[in-house]
Parts: sequence; C-alpha cells; structure tokens
Amino acid sequence: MKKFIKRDIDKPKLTIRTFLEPLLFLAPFLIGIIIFTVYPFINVLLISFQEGYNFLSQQFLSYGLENYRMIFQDENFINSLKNTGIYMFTVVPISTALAIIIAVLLNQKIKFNGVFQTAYFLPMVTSVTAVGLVWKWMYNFDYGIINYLLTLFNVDAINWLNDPKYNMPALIIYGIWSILPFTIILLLSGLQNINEQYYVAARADGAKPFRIFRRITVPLLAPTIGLVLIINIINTSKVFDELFPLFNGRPGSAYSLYTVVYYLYDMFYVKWELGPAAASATILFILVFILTMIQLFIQRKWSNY
Amino acid sequence: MKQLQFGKILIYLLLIVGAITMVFPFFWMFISSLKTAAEVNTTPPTLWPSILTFDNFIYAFETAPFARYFLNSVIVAFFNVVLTGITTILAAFAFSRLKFPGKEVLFSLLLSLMMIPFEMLIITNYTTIADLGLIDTLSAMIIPFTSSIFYTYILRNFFQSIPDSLYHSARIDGASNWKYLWKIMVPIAKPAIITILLLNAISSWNAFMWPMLVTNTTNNRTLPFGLYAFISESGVRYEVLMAASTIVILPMVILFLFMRKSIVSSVAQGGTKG
Amino acid sequence: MEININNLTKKFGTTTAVNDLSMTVESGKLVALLGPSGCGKTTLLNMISGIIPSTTGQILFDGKDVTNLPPDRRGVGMVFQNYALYPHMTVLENICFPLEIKKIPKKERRERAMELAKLVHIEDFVKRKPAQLSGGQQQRVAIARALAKNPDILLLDEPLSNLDAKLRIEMREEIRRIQRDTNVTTIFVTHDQEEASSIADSVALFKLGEIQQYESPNELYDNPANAFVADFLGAPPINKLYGVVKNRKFVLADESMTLDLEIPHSVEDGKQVLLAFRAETIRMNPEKVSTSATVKEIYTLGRDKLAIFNLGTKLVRGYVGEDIELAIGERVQVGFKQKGIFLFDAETGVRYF
Ligand SMILES: Nc1ncnc2c1ncn2[C@@H]1O[C@H](COP(=O)(O)OP(=O)(O)OP(=O)(O)O)[C@@H](O)[C@H]1O
Ligand SMILES: [Mg+2]
Repeated sequence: MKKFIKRDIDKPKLTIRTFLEPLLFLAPFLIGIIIFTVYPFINVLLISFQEGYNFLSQQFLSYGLENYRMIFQDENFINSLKNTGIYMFTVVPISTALAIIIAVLLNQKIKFNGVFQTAYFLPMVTSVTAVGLVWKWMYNFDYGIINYLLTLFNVDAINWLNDPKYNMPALIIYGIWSILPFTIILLLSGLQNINEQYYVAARADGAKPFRIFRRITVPLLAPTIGLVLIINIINTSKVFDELFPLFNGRPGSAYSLYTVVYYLYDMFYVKWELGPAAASATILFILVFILTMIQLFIQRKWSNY
Repeated sequence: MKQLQFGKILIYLLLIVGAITMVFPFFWMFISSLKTAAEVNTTPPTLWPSILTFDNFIYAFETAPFARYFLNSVIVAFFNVVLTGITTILAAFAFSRLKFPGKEVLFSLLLSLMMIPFEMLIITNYTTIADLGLIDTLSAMIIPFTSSIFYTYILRNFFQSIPDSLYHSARIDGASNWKYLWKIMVPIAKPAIITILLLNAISSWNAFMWPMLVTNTTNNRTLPFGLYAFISESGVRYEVLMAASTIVILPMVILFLFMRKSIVSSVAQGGTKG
Repeated sequence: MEININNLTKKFGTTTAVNDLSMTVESGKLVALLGPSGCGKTTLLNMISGIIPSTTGQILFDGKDVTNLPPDRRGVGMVFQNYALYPHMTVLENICFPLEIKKIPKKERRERAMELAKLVHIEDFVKRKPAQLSGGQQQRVAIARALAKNPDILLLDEPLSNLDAKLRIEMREEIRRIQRDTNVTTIFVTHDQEEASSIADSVALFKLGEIQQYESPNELYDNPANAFVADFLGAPPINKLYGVVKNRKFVLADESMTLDLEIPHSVEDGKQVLLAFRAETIRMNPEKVSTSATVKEIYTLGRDKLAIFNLGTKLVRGYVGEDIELAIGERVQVGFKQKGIFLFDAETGVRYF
C-alpha cells in the first residue's frame, strides 16, 4: 500500500517550516515595530479621545472630543496650523522652482559636475542644529553677513531673529536652502530618466533651447515634479528642528511662530498636557495621511505611462 | 556658434553663483571659527581671518564636553547602524525569499505604517522609555530605532532582484536559509546594504528632537543637542559656536565627500529624506 | 543510486505540470528527459531536487522516501540552465562552496576543488570570477560545483541551451565523458532530440506532463510507441500522410494517390489513419513497388542526396542512394523498407505497425 502525501502548493500551508522559520527572521524587526510604532500609534489615538479626568481615582471617565475642542480653541494651535501652512506653501514652491532650474543646468554636459554636485547636495547630510546655528550667525543684526550684504545694496539692516515680523521670512529662507539638495536630487534623477531621443528629435526639428524646456522637459518631468511637491509638503509639515537654533528653543522671538510639531512638543514636554498633545499629534497624522493619499494617487496616475 | 558659447558661459555662471550660495554657510562657519572674537564682531566682515587662531576650538572643548558628545554620537550611531542593519537584513530576507501565509498582507500593512510621522509617536514612546528606566541613557536613543520599515522596503526590493536560481542552487549545495542569506545574498547585496547603513548613520548623527527629550545630563548628550545646549552655556560667542558647529558637521562632510555617489543614488531611489 | 518515482503529480493552480508519473532511473545511468517546451521537464527535475514540493506521489532514492526532504538534505547536485554561479566568488570558491557548507577543512576542499577543475578542464581559470568566463567555461564550473560534494544524483536542466552549436556538441561529449568517469546517476533535461539521443542511455519523452515512451534512443527511433514519439524524433522530420484504409491499401485523404501496402487485417476498412515513414525508408525502383512519385527537388547534403517527391498531392522527403541518378520532373517507382514505416490511428495516435 503506497502512502501519498497531499499538500497544497498554491498557498503555503502553516507548518513548522512555513511559520516558525519566517517568524524567527522577522521577530527582531517586528518587535521593534510593534513596541515603537504600532502600540504608540494606537495609544496616542486613544489618549487623544480621553476626557473627564478624575483626580481621586486618577482615571479618565469617558471618551470624547474634548481635547480636540480644546486645541481648536487654543490660539497657539490655530497659529501653528497657519504658520505650518505658510511655511509649507512658500518653501515648497520656491524651492521646487529653483531646484528645477538647477537640476536642468546640472543635467547639461558640463565639466566639474562632481564639484557642483558636492556643493549643491552637501546641506542634505549636515545637522539642522549646527547649520541652523550658522544661519543664526549670518542673520545677526549687528555683525551678520546678510545684513552687511543688504547695506551694500543700500537696504536697511533687518532684525531677522528678534523682530517677529521677520521671523517667518528668516525661517523660510533657511528652509528653502536646506530642502534644496533633496529636491534637486529627485528632479535630477527624473531628468536623467527622460529618454535622450526626445531631445535629439526636438533639436532636429530646429527647436530652441527654451522651447525644448517648455515643450519637452517640463511635461515629461511633470510626474517627478508632482511627487517632489508632495514629499516636500509632507516633510515641511513637520518643521521643528529648525526653530531651536534660530530662536533659542522658542517658537519665534515673540512666541508667534508656533508650528504643529512645536505645539505638540510644547504641550507634551513643556506643559505635560498629554490629551491636547495627543490630539495635536493626531491632527498631524491626519494631515500627513491625506497628503500621502494624494501622493499615492498621483503616483498611480502618472505611472500609467 | 557664438550663441552656443554664450549659452555655455551663462550655464556655468548660474551654476557657480548657485553653488557659492549653497556652500557659503559652511565656508562662513569655518572662517568665523578661525577668527578672534574681536575680528568676528567687526563691520565690514573679513572674508579671511587676519589672525588665524584655533583657540575657539580649544575653548569649545574646554568649556563643554564635546569629546564626550562626540563619543556618544559615535556610540549611538554605531549601535543604530548595527542593530538596524541586522533587523533589516533578516526581515528583508523573510519578505523577499521565504514563503509564509499572510506575507503580502503583512508587508502592505507595514508599508502603510510608514505614513505615521515619528513626531506623533514621541508621547507614548517617551513613556515607554521611561517605564523601561532608560531616560537619560544612550540606549534611549538606540532602542526605539532598531527597526526601519523604509530600509527594509528598499533592501527587500534589492533582494528580490537576485535570481531565484542562486537560492535554489545554494540550497542544493547544502546551504540552509541562514547560510544562504549570509554567504550569498548579503555579499551580493553589499552595495545596497552599505548605502542603507550610511543613510541610517547620517540620520542618527543628526537627530535632534528625540535626544533632546530623553537626555538630561551632559554625560549622555549627543552632538546636536550638546551643541544646542552649548549656546546657553557659552553665551552667544559666535566664533566659539562656529567652532562647535564645525565639530558637529565635519564628520558628515568627510563622509559625504567620499560616499557622495552612493548617498545621492540611494536618496534618488528611496524618494524620502534620510 | 536508483531513483524511483511513483505516481508523481504536480499542479500549479489549474495547470497540471506533471501528471501521475512513474519511472525508474537505474543506478549509474544517464537518462534524458525530452519534450517540447512547457511539458513539465523542469518541474519534474525540480521535484526530484526538492526545490518545489510535489502535489501527490512519492520519490524514492535507493528505496528511501525523500518526498518531504528539503533540497539540502537530498544529496543531489544540480546544474541550472543559467548556471547560477555565485557572482561574488571566484571559480575555486564556487566549486568549494558545497564543501564549505559541509565544513570540510579548507586544505582538503581546495584539493578536491582543484581535482574537479582538472576533470572539467578549467584548472587555468580557478582565480577568475564567473563574469570573466565564457558560457562554456561557466557551464563547466557549474558541473564541477555540482559534482563537488560527491552527489549520488546529478541533475542538469538544459545546460547546453545557451551555447553555440559547435560548443554544444563538444560539451555534450564532455558531459558524457564526465558521467562515465564518475558513474553518477544523471538526469539530463533537453528539448533537443538529437542531443538526447546522442548522450543518453535512455530517453523519457514527455508530452503535457506525461511520459509517452521511456526507452533507449534507438528503440525510440525504430519503435515509436505512438504518433507523437515518431513525429518528435528524427531529422529531417518524419513524413506524415493522413488517409484511410481501403482493401488493405492506404488511400490519401483527398484520394489523389493509393499506396500498395500490406496493412494487417486488424485495421478495419475505412479507418482514418496516419502513415508515417522516415526519409531513409523510401526506396527507388524496388522489387515491390508501392506507388509512383514525381521528383520535385534535389538537395545534396554532404554524401547524401535528399529529394522531395510529389506523392499524389503531398510532398515527402526521401534519401536517394548514391548510385541512383534522378532528374527534376522525373517519374519514379517508389517502395519502402520494412524498417521505419509506421501506421497510426489518426485520432488517438495508437500504433498499428
Ligand atoms: N511556478 C509556476 N507557477 C505556475 N505554473 C507553472 C510554474 N512553473 C511551471 N508552470 C507551468 O507548468 C508547465 C510545465 O512547466 P516546466 O517549466 O516544467 O516546462 P519545461 O518542460 O521545463 O519547459 P521548457 O522546455 O520551456 O523549460 C507549464 O505549463 C508551465 O507554465
Ligand atoms: Mg524547463
């Protein structure tokens, strides 16, 4: 009597080999993810909805929107949304526009390409804190190089860091500078993926450089540009580290430069108000979530060709 | 022909102006760090120090434990790189090579977790680290970062590009999955792994917010937070601050000069900031 | 080592790649698995090596059931179609790898690897990386690596398909030589019938996951079990004529010609049949004439002359003896040798004679 072994081959079945071995390989990774991403994510969501703290029992009595109501009545939070929005929607378009120009230039047949790349990409790997400190020095009212350059053009010295009016511009200029390298790299690799043949054909048709740029480069680069815009919007929505060196850890010289992450930090670490902190963290997540959905949508749409 | 020449010159001109703007802060930092206090606070500023001095560096090292910060940064970056490297390689292998039920579902689930900003998680992670009794230790800056979905995703894609026949061949040659991973897959994927580790080292080195939250005493600070704390400790003396900034930035600049190509290409591939 | 395969089946979803297959490979023999693309050769080989699990059935090595053993515990050596050499290792390291896994001391494994390198004539290239070798050299490295751990069974999956015609012939002789020298039980997959015939002790001919015939190459050629086998083997391909049986004669389907053959009584009158005969079976002006044919074209191939004839409305190929002079357009009497002419049921392919 022959014994036949029946096995399902399409879907791997649960056996010691298909379960235990992958589990061993995945365990170190999954433990980290569960403890430091999944659990805190759920926990923060829960905290954000807790309300009615009872000091006697030291427990929350119910779940509700109290924390959200609170932060949306908090002027600082409204301010932080506004500031983050202003920061995002100035830094991202300006840096993208600049980056397109630079990327196109770097994509020409030029000498010293390595030197230029090194110069343009260096800020990407350097500490925001350290470089921020350099910008603080350059923004210095009395001896800063920026004000000195302005006086050369007969512009009055600006009190970048201590006059609340100029805090945001100072932050934006520094933001553009620091986001440029990353933006250029993505756009440059997008440009390098455009088939050389299109250019050859256009040149053969006698098109002028600017026309080639407008009619060929820009449309073919559009998917990359869309992607870069969204990724940068997501990244800039988390602006925080930059504030510390520039304004000595304060959100602007007159506390007028709250950003969403700064508000979250302030509520959590300085004021130890966990509920509102968690609520603002959740708002940040929703923001990033929506932006990511848009990103995925754009990517899917563009990748159709 | 003339027009072409003019175009080329314009391109170089624009590129040079842009490049100078980009590197100027680094230049200015370094130059200022070599000036005397008197020269720093003069108008008009000098492009080159009239008296070259290394006193600012000496002063920085004397007034704040920058050597200690530096060592801490190295330790934290080292363990981050090693531990993340191990978890990433193991997980990327399981996701690319092993067959198990629910693999695809689990993987898409993990990818969607990438949307969660780390800033959102600090509230609970801080409590977790406090509960573990790790506040104000170097471990607090290592343990939460041992697993990276992003790096795992990149490495898994690379692993998947290695032909199946190499795996089958190694299995027939008698290698277990474990042996295959370390003797065949990892050596072949070495360039990809090195890039991932580099990106990881850079982001560990530059991290500011989390180290600020979890360290209290000078002994456990890493460079960026140590530098920030130094502002209040030294008073605002820019020549000294610039020397301190140079100390923080220099290792990454050197790293970048040597590894520019692989860093740039991995950033281009990953599409996410390091 | 003897291999027994009992009722082995492999299903991929709804496709059955190997269907209820049983066969035995005797120890020390070289067997070729032959068949058209997609007939399940690789699938069978991969089940023998343990790379893919079977759906049902059993594989025995010398009577021991290995059906559930993973590849690393089956003691087989395998050469892949694309060689699958480890790109980061030198030739020597590649050959050493199976020994390294077995934890054989470094010195010993180097000696063994050098021995193998000599056996396959690559001793001059042992320090190179695979990318610096030609296809034929890579293939020899792959064979040496497969032999390194002294396998009981050697499996080769279309190892020659990436090589040019001349190298292919050289390499298949090389493989035969190495197999004879080592006497390892070998299964060789190919879809080239000439390759299979020239190298193997026996050939298993596959169609859609089933063995059609499993015998020595000569038997397969001289004595095909069915129409598929007759059609698959032989160059030039066998001549095929569809028709019906009438009064023990073969009548072409459009009735343009009748062949005078002594068809046995067992085949009923009016049966739809397929008559197949090899090019060397046809004879000019024989004692027993079957029919007459018109010479359409003549090719000289080395010593042989190959002519194309009109038989009724159909064209057939036939070798012409050296001593016979033919002219295009000439009408000749033709007959057939006993050997090399077959009659099959037109529908089922079952052979009548
Ligand atoms: N992993 C798989 N998933 C689904 N179907 C498969 C798989 N592998 C093989 N098949 C199918 O099984 C059948 C047999 O495939 P197999 O690779 O064994 O053929 P083969 O005889 O080796 O062909 P070739 O000469 O082209 O290499 C084919 O129909 C093929 O499409
Ligand atoms: Mg095959």
